Amino acid sequence: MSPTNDAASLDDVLVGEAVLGVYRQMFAALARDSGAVVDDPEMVDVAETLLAAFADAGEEGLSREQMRYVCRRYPAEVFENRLRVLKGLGAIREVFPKPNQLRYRASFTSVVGLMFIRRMMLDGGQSEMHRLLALEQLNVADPRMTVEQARAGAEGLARAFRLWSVELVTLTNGTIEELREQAPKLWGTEEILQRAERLHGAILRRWPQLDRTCTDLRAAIYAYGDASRRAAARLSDSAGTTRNLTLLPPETWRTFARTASREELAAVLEGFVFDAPAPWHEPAAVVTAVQDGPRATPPRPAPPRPSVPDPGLSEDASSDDAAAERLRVVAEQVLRGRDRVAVEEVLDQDWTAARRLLADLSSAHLHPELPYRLVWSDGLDSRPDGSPTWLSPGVFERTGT
Amino acid sequence: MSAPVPAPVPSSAPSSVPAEVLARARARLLGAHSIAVSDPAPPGLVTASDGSRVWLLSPWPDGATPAVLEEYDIAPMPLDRPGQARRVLAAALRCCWPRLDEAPWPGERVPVGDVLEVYARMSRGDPELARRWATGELRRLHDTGWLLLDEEAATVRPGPRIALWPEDSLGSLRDLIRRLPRPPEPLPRVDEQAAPADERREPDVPHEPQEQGGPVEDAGE
Repeated sequence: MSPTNDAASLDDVLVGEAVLGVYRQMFAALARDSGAVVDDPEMVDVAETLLAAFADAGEEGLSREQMRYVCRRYPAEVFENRLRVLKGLGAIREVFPKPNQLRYRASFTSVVGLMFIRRMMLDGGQSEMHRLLALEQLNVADPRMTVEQARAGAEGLARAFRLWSVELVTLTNGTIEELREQAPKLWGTEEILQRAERLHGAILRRWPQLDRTCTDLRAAIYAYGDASRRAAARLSDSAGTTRNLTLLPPETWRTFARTASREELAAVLEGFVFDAPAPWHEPAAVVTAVQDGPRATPPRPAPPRPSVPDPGLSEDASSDDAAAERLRVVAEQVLRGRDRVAVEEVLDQDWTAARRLLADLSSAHLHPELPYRLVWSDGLDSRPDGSPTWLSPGVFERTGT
Repeated sequence: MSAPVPAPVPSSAPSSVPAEVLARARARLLGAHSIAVSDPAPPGLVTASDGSRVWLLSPWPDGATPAVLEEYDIAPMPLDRPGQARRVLAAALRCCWPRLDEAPWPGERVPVGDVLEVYARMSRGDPELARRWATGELRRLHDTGWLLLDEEAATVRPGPRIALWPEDSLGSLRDLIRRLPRPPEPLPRVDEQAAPADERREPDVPHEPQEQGGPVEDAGE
């Protein structure tokens, strides 16, 4: 704190130079040339790539070749231009201020400025306004806050709100497309208004002497609220007629669909003619549906069937009686009224006929319903001249019934 | 879904639009709607008459039906639960189409209860639930012109759209309907000889479960 005029002026110059330096560093990312702002977002990308590389490099910094390497995606002249401007504005500077310095380091302020710029580019001034209001609220609660600071903050906010409402009024009177583009600025307005009014109340409670400033702030807040409401009304009016569904956020459409009456919903499609529902049921589709449908009884597996056509069980069954009858006739002929007869008596014909008779007698013996029986004894007679040349003596007899 | 209001089309330009275009638009808009037999039928529409009313239906070119969509791999009009709707339609035809040698249209008017009973016997699960599902499907089939449902009299009969089925596509449907469970007998007859009919039906069923026509018919007569 030098008391002399010279020193004071030098100090002022230094202070002014420091402020200017911060400004230059902050907006170095945006500067196209030392005097103007960039017109190409790619140039901001170059700055961001460089700063990220510096953050990774640590305290060593980067050499010029390394910088060129990380920016290899960009044309050489763009890179040279950016590097020159960033160096000129102090965002990138030599590790030691010497001629022929090879290594560089980046300025912290530039990164913060770039973050701020990115944020502003991303979601406009509105979220920044939220942050400012929240910050200001914290400041007001801070016991170190002075009246002057509070007055400056309130005035700044009032100015911001006034400018904002002016912009909204201009938008409201402009074209609907422009309004739609800027529509994100209108969302969440209520919250901003509430925050601002809370802040205003806090300032007024703590420093009642700031009532004039607070009146300005209040007026600015109300003006902003009115302008915002008017712009939103114009937007929703035009949204109702243009059927451009992007005019309003999806939540608004959903709320409308849920709360609107049937007439309101139907009015959207007034003048349209729709076909009556006419689904087609092909007969084959009906058949398929019935066959595929759940059955009343679960389908049972079919019993195995021969692949060749069955000659028919019923024929055999019906001929069984006839066969039994024939066997009975044969047996009665053999017995001729007797109860038993020796088999060798019966088989006294030639073997061709005898074997047929023997087969019939065996069948009569085996038939469960016929009352005849063949009984063989254990002996074996050899008859070299007989028709059956050997023979076991046996008896064909009528059984009990 | 209720039918849209037909007001804008007919009233807007009665003079400039040709009559058949208007009639076609109205037929598409209203689905299957009917006029008296005495009224002149507009040209260019397929008509299905049951003697007293004439239903106007919009035709497809070259005698095709929407079934050709499947040949061209085009999705048909989406339908909620198409299988259930078609099973209910089959149950209704089982009752409304007693003489299978004839065409299904115009068919006969039968009580809704018979159709519900047939459907309940066709399907598995809770019969009461099946009846309730079938009632909803009957209403939807009525809305789309496949059945004519008289809710006050509780009767149902085939709808005009059934008249659009080509005769040569009905063979498998006839076979199917012959195999479906029979509708219950009319009430008065059941009152007279309910017990003997039931007694005689019981022993018949286990012997020949596949022949659903014969034994029940005998029992009923």
